Amino acid sequence: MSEPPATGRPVFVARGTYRRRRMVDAAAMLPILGALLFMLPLLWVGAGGGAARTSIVMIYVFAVWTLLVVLSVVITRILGSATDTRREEDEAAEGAPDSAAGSGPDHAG
Amino acid sequence: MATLNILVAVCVAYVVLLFSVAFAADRAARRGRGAWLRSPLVYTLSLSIYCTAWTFYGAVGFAARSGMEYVTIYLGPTLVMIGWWWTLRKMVRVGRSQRITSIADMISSRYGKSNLLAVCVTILAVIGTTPYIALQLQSVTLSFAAFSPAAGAGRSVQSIAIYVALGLTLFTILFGTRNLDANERHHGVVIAIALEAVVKLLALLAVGIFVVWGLEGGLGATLARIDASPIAAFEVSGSRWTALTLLSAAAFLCLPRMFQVMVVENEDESHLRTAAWAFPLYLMLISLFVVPIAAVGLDLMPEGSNPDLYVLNLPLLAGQDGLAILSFLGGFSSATSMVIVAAIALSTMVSNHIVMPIWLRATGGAAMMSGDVRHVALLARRLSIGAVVFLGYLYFRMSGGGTALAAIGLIAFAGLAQLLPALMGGLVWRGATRTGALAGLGVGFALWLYCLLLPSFGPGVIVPQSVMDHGLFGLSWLRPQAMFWTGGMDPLVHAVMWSVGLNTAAFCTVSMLSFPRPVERLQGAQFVNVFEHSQRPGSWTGGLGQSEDLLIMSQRIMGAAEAQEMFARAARRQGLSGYLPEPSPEFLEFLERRLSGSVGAATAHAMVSQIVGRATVSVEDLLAVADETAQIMEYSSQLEAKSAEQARTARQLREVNEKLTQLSVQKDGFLSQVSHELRTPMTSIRAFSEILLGGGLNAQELRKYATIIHAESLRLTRLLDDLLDLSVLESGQVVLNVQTATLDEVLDRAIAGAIGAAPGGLEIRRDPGFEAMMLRTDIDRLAQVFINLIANVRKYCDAGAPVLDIHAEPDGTRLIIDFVDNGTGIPIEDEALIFEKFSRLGDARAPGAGLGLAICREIMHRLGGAITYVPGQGGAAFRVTVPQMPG
Repeated sequence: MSEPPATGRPVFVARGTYRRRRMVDAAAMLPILGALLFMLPLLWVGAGGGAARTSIVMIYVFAVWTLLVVLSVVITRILGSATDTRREEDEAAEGAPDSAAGSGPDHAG
Repeated sequence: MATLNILVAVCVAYVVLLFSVAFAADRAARRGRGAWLRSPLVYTLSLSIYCTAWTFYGAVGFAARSGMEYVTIYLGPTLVMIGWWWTLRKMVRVGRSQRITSIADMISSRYGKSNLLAVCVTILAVIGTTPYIALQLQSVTLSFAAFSPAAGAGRSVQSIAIYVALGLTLFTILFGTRNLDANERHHGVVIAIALEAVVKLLALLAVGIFVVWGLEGGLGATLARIDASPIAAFEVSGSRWTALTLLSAAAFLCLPRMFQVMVVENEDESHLRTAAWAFPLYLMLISLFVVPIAAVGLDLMPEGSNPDLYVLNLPLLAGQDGLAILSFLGGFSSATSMVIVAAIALSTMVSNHIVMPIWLRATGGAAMMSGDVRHVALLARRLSIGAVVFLGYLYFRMSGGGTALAAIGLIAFAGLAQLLPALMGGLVWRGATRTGALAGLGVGFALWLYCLLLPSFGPGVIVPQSVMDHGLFGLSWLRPQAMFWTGGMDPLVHAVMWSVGLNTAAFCTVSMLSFPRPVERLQGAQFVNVFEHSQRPGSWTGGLGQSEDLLIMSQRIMGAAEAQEMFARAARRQGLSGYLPEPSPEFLEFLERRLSGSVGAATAHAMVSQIVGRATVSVEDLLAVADETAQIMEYSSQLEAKSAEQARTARQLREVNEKLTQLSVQKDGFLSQVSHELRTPMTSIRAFSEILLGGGLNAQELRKYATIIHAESLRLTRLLDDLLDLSVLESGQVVLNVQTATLDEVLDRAIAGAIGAAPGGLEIRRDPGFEAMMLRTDIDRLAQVFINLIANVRKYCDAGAPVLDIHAEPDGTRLIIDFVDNGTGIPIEDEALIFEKFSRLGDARAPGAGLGLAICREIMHRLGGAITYVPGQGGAAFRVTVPQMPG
């Protein structure tokens, strides 16, 4: 990149750009949120102290699924409406370690 | 059975529909009317080939066996898809910028276009996909059998499988190999897949709705049924839940068919934005009714019936033949779309990475020029499609179709997940090397084989029971399902953990210890920093390739018209006419990438390099170039210095030349002057001597003429003396007569010698301060200099009342004596000349041969001192510097 590294980046950016950057953060956090929510039923305990009921888990899983879809719609809409290519480039530089961390659990699987 | 006949008819009609839709889409796209073919919706629907017959039939079977666990297979891809910003975006960008044709091409391209790696990935992909294709054939035959229980195990089922396999091969060859450029979208295929995606979703939803509201009478009743079923309790092991989610996420990225639709067939990166939410929605909808169908099936179907076929059998049981046929079509769609895309993906890999390199090597590159590469490549791809589908059929026949569908699917997932470290590591880590990727793949593949695939055929079939119980060679830590003493785990979780874990470990360790080749480093930077530069740095050195050969080769691969068009465009861009552009690095770069879209990066690279002469740039080359550049720069700075020096020299030469020219003019002037000077006395001497010879003169006259003759001869003698003196001084033959005297004495002598007793109006001001200083030099010569200077003032000083200031001052070991008059001085342009021989200022205003100052300079030079003209002193100012000789 011809731009100087992080130190050269502005501290304050326009409102739209700022919003977009937070949306990128949200897009990156969404799968983590989803993974955590999908893991949650593993900790559930049924009414009688035994296993949780499949029907409840099913309803929960599909509710979370719907929530994730809705959030994804919102985030991608906001991301799509503002086109800031520079941001995208910056994100790529930052994104590298992030995605390395993200694919970590996959490797460990 | 009437239903079976109707089924066959519907099936044939559906296949005809698929063919015509694909044909129409291809035609529309070729005529440029297929904008809607490129919509994000079609892209999303094409992703749905993730949901194969394994989803359509197997998910219900999976749920009937282990409850909610089936959903992990769809949660993984959901998480990957909503996290598209992290990985998919990069993968798609790399795939587009590098014109990637398959996952093997992607990994090979990342690790320095290594064909070895591509071959390994291809083999792994074939091994991992073949059972999967078998699975699809099995599901189609099973579903046929469901309609005619009587014909279930007979020959007709086998023949159905072979018809299906043949039909699929035909369709794939027809629509999947229209273009050689695998990078171009197969519109026909994609639109058929999209249609099938809709069909299978609608079919499953229809069955689900029928089961929930038709058979059970509502949501509440269905939930109650689930609670009453054998799968009521959520008894999922945490490790399996997590491992399956991660495994499906990994497989979603690594499955060759997913890679094909997601990356290779991707038309527009922004489609990912839509797919990011639309595909999870699709997955959610398709898995929505799985548990209800399973619960109801477990309740209604007779004991021992195959839960994998509940989707089909429930409508049949309820007498809903129409729904059953729709359901069948759904399953058929799932199976066929998977086989079609998998066959395209695998055939691209097999033909580009195995067949073409072998063919190229076998023909030694000669065929590249004479043979029709395009034909060979297409033929290779078509044969590969047939081979891949046939392999699947063979596997189906061999395995006998006994294994539960889900088990095969998960084993295939685990096998392809071995690609994940190399794929993801290559995208985010520049340090990943080819050796590391090979090591990781090797370790992961071996462990997958040993721990999962081979034992899956059952104990004793391939892996003996003794090895299962006591480990390989009796080593207890090598038991296939309890590696490194880790017992008590689910075999799948165990195998995935060790294979992917050690795969990653080997990949990272070997990458860190090995050193990448130059091409790997270039490609690594290209992949990891794809968002910073989407174009590749030059990797060809131009000038060696033969444009014509390249054109011939490209024509063979891309087709004549397209290749010529491309070459002509490239030529125009270079400002040339005709069809042959200069083989510049940019052009070779571009050409290689275009070709890699057809035959894969490694092969394209090999083909171009065979013509261009393997002139790829290595880091060593780059270093050499850098060195050369540095040398050139140094050389040019030397040249610059030299040319500056030359400029200085030239200026000096010009000055000298100017001086010489002036001198030459002066000399000419002087010669005529000397001739005149010599002639004048000679003329008078001759004239007066003739008068004397004539006689008849009185004594007074005699005396007068003799005096004139004498004076003239003295003048001549003086002139000749001066000339002689100068030549002696200049030739350095002068002998110094060193004496000691005070400056005072020398000046007195000089003034007396120059002006005698008659000062002639010249006032001489002296500065007695330092005149008492002792000088030890050739006093006579010094006095001669002083005399000359003082005489010059007398001759040339044009002031009304001429004044000469003589001022002396010591300067270190030297004594400086200034002679300054109050005249107009010497013009600047003449200053350089006054000390030259024969120079006379202006025209001969005053007598003299112009040798005085030249003689002075020579004398001072011999005395070790100097005489200079000091400008800007208010008049002519001469500075005589005399060294005070010691002793």
